[in-house]
Amino acid sequence: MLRKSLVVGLAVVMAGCGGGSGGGESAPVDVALSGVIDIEAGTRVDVDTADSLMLSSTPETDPQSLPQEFILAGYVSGSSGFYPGDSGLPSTEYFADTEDIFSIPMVPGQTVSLQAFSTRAGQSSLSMQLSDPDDIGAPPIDSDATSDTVSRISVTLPGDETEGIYRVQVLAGSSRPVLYILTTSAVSLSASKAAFEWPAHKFAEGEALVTLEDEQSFPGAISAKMSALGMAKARGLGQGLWQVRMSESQSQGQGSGAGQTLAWIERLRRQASVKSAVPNYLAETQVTSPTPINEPIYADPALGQQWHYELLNAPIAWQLSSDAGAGVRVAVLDTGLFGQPPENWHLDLNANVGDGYDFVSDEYDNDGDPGPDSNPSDPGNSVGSSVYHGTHVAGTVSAAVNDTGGAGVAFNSTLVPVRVLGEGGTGSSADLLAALNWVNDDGTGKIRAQVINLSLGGLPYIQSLQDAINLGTGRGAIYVAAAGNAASSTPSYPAAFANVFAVSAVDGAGVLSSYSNFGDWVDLAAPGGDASRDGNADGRGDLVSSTSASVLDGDSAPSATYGLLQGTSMAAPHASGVLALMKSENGALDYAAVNAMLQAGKLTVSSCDNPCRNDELGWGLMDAGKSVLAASDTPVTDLLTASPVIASLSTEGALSITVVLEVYGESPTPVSIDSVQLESSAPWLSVGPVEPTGSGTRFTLDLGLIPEELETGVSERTALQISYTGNEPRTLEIPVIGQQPADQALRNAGRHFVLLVDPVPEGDIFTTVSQATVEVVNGQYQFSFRPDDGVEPRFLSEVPPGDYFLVAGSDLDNDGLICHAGEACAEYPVAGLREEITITAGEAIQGIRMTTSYSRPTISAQSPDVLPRPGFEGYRLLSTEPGQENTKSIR
Amino acid sequence: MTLLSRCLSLTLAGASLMVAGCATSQPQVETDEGAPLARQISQSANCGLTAPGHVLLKSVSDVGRLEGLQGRTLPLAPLRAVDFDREHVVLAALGQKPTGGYSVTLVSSAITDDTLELFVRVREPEPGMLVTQALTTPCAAIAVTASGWSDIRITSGQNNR
Repeated sequence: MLRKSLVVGLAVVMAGCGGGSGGGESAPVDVALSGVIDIEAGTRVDVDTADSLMLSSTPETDPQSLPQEFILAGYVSGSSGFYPGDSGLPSTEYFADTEDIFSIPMVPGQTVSLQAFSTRAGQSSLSMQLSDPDDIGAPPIDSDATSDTVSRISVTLPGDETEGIYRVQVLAGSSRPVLYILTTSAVSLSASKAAFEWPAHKFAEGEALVTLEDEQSFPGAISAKMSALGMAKARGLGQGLWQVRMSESQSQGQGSGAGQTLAWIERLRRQASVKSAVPNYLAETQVTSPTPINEPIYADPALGQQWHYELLNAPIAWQLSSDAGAGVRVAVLDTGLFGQPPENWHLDLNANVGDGYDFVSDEYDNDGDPGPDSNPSDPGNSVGSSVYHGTHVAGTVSAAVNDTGGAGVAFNSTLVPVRVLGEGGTGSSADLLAALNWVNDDGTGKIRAQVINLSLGGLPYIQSLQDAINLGTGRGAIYVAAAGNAASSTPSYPAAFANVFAVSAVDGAGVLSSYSNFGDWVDLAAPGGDASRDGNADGRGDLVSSTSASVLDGDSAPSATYGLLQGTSMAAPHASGVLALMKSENGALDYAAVNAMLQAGKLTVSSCDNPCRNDELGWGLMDAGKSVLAASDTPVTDLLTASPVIASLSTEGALSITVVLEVYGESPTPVSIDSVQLESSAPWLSVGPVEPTGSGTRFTLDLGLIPEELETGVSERTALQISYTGNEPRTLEIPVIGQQPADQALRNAGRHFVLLVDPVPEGDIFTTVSQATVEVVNGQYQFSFRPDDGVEPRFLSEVPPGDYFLVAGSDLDNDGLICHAGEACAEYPVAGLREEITITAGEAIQGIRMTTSYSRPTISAQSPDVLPRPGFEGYRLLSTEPGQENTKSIR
Repeated sequence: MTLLSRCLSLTLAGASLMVAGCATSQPQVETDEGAPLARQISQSANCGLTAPGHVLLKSVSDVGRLEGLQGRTLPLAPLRAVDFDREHVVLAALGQKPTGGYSVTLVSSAITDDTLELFVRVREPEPGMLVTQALTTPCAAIAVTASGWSDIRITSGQNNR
């Protein structure tokens, strides 16, 4: 028997890690270990298991509705009784539940499979029947039963039956209890990848916007030159930009007008005398010009997470902003960028990267060229894999809108990459000072960047850094810094310097992240994520997606990718991006002006009456829409906005939704709705009228899902194009998604017992030391263990310092064991692969995440070489007696 | 600390490591074939293991189960490349840390009284050091000999700059 023992040194390290992380306070002491258990997709549980019947309920007689794709664990028993009290296990009770009835949408040929599992009470049996609920009294359409040798049975809807809702009954075959897993066959339980497709943006056929090289050297010769290039000159748009038409000689080829136009533009771009040539995008699409909403990561939740932009109210800011930060330079003082200068950066950053510098001195440098140089490339760590922290931060500021990956808040702003952190993401205050001084002066006494992002910390107060910041502030620069991740109120520098906006982090619900610093020196909050929470109820921990790099399997070198991180490092660039949007609206804005707006409540949403502040969120959670509006010299007063920004309809979520259309701002101009059109055919969507008719500042529009027009497991997508007129004609585009199923919130694997067990088994038995009981909430379980305080009453969830396995599961047959066949089981970090967790006095371990499932890695066809667990009976519960779930008198 | 003082002393001043045996039998420092008992094959700041401790991987399919760990950037290809008939893989994890600047590195290994001891150096940022402000989950991936031991113990020392 393998015995895994104490990780002595790691515990020592845990106790000593607080001081070096930018703050000095330890985590809350009322929590020893906490986290979240997710549930595998499609998971459901029988409503009347022995575990639920024990909690004073009679067996359910009404059918339980199930989706078309599911996996369910159930329990039936012909009578009540007691399990034998043997091998140290208690003699717990089981309850009579002679049948379970389910309503299942089925199509001809579909099969529902069942696998039965005997319990501690002994060998048992069951049967199942498929019948038409509208044809009472008729014999079953199909039936099957287990036997001594057959535990896996099924019923199938014949091909000549009609699609509809059918009844599946599971009947106890003996007096003893039996567990079973019921599942639909021939369907994958993992949701299909969403198949979102967006059409290319519309442009004027036969037209282009062109800039010529050396135009000034050919005065009077423009027409001749254009003619030679197959262009018919239309009109000058100023600053060397010409709107031109394709001459007839160029349009004699095959294909559509649009295709010919694009081919012509490509030919123009190959001409040496043409500096640039782009399609003339139609006016309506210029209004709703491509924004991050159109990007793949934004459009496909399976690819990443973009909740942080919704929370920031960025979609409205993108409508309000005239140019998404174009012309504003944002310096990112960080680990540098993945890639190489001058134009071989991450594909999603390349278009926006300007000249930068590397200030990492010899001691921290690992880029093969020790000491400062002009290449701000992030080489990654010299050993092991790398985080590419600076690449992630830069992407949040200014990843481009280019039909690839995601996009930044100010997706047209220019990045100034300044490398100040080297190996492992560490650096020195001297390097930071050199970098700040470089940004402060381009050699002519002017700043190199208008916004400076500092997703770094850990420093004490240093006067020379404050002086450099003061100098830059005087030249118009605005500094933004991460408040730090020590869950502490101790000021962290550079965030706590004067003339720096200190940004704390919030989760998907806008609540301060569990790790975020706070205090009277925090100025505002922005999304930074929190993997231990699912604040936006999307079934996932809240992390921030952005540009990154990683070594893909089969490769030896890293490639440009996208990654998920959390931290105040992620919050700061959201604020920097918004400031870039503001600076592009009003270049005169400086720290003092922005700070005055902040304190007047013009840049944030606040939980209290505006304006006000608190130590957690400062002056509130940054609102990009309000901020851009506040910065604008000539604010747009007739901009229609939609809530929700994206309408998502689902067979297991909202079947209908009311979209509120509202003119944005404090002094809105009334608009009238001219038309509502769908971008593409969508038979699965019903669109109601816009109400009220006529001119106004607030309208509603009902959208409904027509499920029978949707293919199971395939997401459909279109967009509503709402044309309206206020001060001028505009178009609002609202993406609409229809899908089935999105079942996260409906997942349920039954009441779960979360155990900390001694990793060293006694024989075959793991000794349970501590236990927490949790119910499902929004498709997941949240658990928490508290430190053992050594005093009575001693709670089951109290845990002394030591090493443990963390496991969880349901006890559907109420036999005092979890994680045996027929019940849900989770093991940290993943089932079948237990990690010894070291719990140390005075240190909270938070943010643990694992997944519970009825399936076991040992029965996976994909992993035949997984070792079995001979003799493993499950993990033992400390107490299953009613009324005694929470305390114990003896440990 | 009890085990630490019973079996070895770890001196980290000046980044030097001194191991003084005090156990009942002579430590074994290489396999019978003369190969190292343990070798570091990778490390990462983002292993996805949010709790401090260690994971033992005994097969390629064990490695595959790491794929779903949230926030993992630890490449799995070097782990899959291990010959699991001869070696197993230990992930020594520090748990979730508030910033960058943490790492775990294997220093040495020995088998004493049937226990495989892995001595690792943990680096963490010194107070006042400038560090990234994204959470990390550092770990080291260490290939260890698959035979000759029944217990495993990981002992670490801090080795700041």
